[in-house]
Amino acid sequence: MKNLVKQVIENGGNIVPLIIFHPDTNGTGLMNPSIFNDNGKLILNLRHVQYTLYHTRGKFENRYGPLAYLNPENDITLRTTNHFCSLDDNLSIDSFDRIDTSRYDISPVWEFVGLEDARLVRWDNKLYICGVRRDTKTNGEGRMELSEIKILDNKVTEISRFRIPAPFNNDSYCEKNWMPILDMPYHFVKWTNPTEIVKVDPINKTCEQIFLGNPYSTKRDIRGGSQVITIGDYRVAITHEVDLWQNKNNNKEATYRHRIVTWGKDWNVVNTSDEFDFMTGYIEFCCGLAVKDDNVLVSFGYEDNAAYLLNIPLNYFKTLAGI
Amino acid sequence: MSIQQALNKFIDDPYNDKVIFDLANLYYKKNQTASALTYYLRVTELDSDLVYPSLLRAGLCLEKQNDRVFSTKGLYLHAISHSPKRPEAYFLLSRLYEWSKEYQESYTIASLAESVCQFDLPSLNINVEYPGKYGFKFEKAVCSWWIGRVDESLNLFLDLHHNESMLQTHVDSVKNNLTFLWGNGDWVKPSYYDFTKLDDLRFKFNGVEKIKNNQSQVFQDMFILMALNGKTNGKYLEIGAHEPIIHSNTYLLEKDFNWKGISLEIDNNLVNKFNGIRDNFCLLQDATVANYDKILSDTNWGNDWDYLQLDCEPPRNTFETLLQIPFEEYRFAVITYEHDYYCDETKSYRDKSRKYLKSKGYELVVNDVSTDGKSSFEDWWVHPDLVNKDVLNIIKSITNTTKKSENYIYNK
Repeated sequence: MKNLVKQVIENGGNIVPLIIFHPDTNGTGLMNPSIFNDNGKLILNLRHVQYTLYHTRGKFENRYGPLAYLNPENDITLRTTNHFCSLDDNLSIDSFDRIDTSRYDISPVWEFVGLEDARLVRWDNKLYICGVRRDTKTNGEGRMELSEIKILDNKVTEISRFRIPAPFNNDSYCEKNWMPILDMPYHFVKWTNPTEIVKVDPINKTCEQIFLGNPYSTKRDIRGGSQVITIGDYRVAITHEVDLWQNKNNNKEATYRHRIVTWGKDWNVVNTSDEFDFMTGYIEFCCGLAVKDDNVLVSFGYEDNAAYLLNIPLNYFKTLAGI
Repeated sequence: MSIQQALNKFIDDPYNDKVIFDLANLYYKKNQTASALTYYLRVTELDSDLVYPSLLRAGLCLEKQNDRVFSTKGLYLHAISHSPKRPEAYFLLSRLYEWSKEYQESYTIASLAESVCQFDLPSLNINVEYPGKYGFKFEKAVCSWWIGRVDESLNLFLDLHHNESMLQTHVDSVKNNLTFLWGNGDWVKPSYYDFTKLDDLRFKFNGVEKIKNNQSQVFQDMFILMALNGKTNGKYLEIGAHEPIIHSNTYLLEKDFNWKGISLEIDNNLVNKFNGIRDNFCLLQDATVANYDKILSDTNWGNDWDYLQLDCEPPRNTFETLLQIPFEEYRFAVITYEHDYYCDETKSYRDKSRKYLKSKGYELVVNDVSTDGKSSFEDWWVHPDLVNKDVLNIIKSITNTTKKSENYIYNK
């Protein structure tokens, strides 16, 4: 399915561009937003990167190829910062503040700096962002981190940070895109095929697998994406899949596609939607999903350079999700 | 149209070049340059007339983000290869090279553009920061200085200043360059001659057609050439040289009419600057105590000279210098004498100088010259034996009022 957003609009939905004007961004990428319904108030984490993704399949490639991360030439790191946003009734950002992570930041030792693709979740009445960080080891090892954030003196501040070990084998290179389960505190869908659920313990700094489902046939690996939300008797998330290849000049190329995955109460997969793109882009990424009244809100990034919020009528979303 | 509206159109018609371009432009306008770049690149994937402006805008997006020069150059090179006769991409590339201090590359691209571009093509419908053809002249003016072509740089800046209608940012930049690279801090643009005003000249002397611009503050250089009917290979004594080019009464004579001469200047920095730029020589001398007999005789250039400049400031110094000139041994066809009457508190030195020069056989031909028609500061003299009488009749203008030099030189 191409151009999901068009179909959503044709079925009563709408889309909102997510833009902030922060002097630190200087026009560079605002991407991969994570929407969250915080007891009726819509909040959102908006990722900013100081690079610009140059991605084209036409005749005018970058000198580094069709897909190039254009970071400042005097700074080879690819830096992420996160902005905490609140939304108004029109789903537009009405205020934002860069999350202050300085309490726990150390000098980065790898070129991907910052917490990437942070999802918002509230567990035990604590508001968290959880994403992957790869700047703490010289080999770029990635681990999910769970950081509590709080508004202190009108500043959104990280007040705790937990680097989650990988279950079983903590030597794995990169753990990312774990999907927080909103109604199960400290639980993530770590992997979707087969469904693997882990429980983390921020006090004892542990992570254990508590469920492993049966594998099923898919075209590609199904990777994580949004939070896992509850709709009726089902749990639902939006996942992503990646086609990676080398083009004729042996340069890296990629296409991302998505699905809505629906689980029953027993965590058996009851439906996977057809694969889709959001807006005919090559690299799009969803890490936000929320229910608000009779709508489902999907937040996604477009080519690492733009961010959008898609508002889908709940009944139409249910159709898409096979509910 | 808002981004929201443009986005909806894009979603409805995602392969429409115009629709994508509109969305990109709206992001660009909001300085959301990463988003804009993404959509501009999508336009470039299509077979569209908008490919070229999209490549330019994509480059401008990266420029605004700073420090992505390598990729920005790549976009401009793409644009050049796409439309090699259009000037905009050359200009942006030249400007980028200049900003990156790659002056030779900038200069070369600007020169290429001047040579290969068609400047009568329809303009693009969006702003890509291309100022017009003069932009290449501007880049060459900036860069030629850095690659050792000082004269060319100055001439280009002067050409820009005199002849081009520029954006304010370039007007200011040209003025700053002229002021801080070659002029003094109070550099003010007087009226200059340029070749477009040829038909207005009071007297079209021999060789006038080769002059693109003059340099003097109130057309003294043009007056000298008028009086001597465009004489080549003349010789001058310039007392109070000051700047070697800006406001110089002798630069034009030297450069375009092959004059030789001796200049005197009391400021060591200006002397060094002069001798670094000009072919003719400037002496470090206090003009009021210089031994002019020796200076003139050491040249072995004979007793009849073509031009004497007297400009020492304040009026008393100029007059005292005048008294040092060995008029008994040497004659000067033309003299420009700066009496600075407008600021002479004694109001005496203009009359003193007139009496003295008249006593030496000189004829006042233009009195009380000024830039503004109010502030008389100079008289112009000739030696009647050394100037053609027919020419003298044309150039003579004695009035009871202060002259605005522009009105005099253009016979208004």
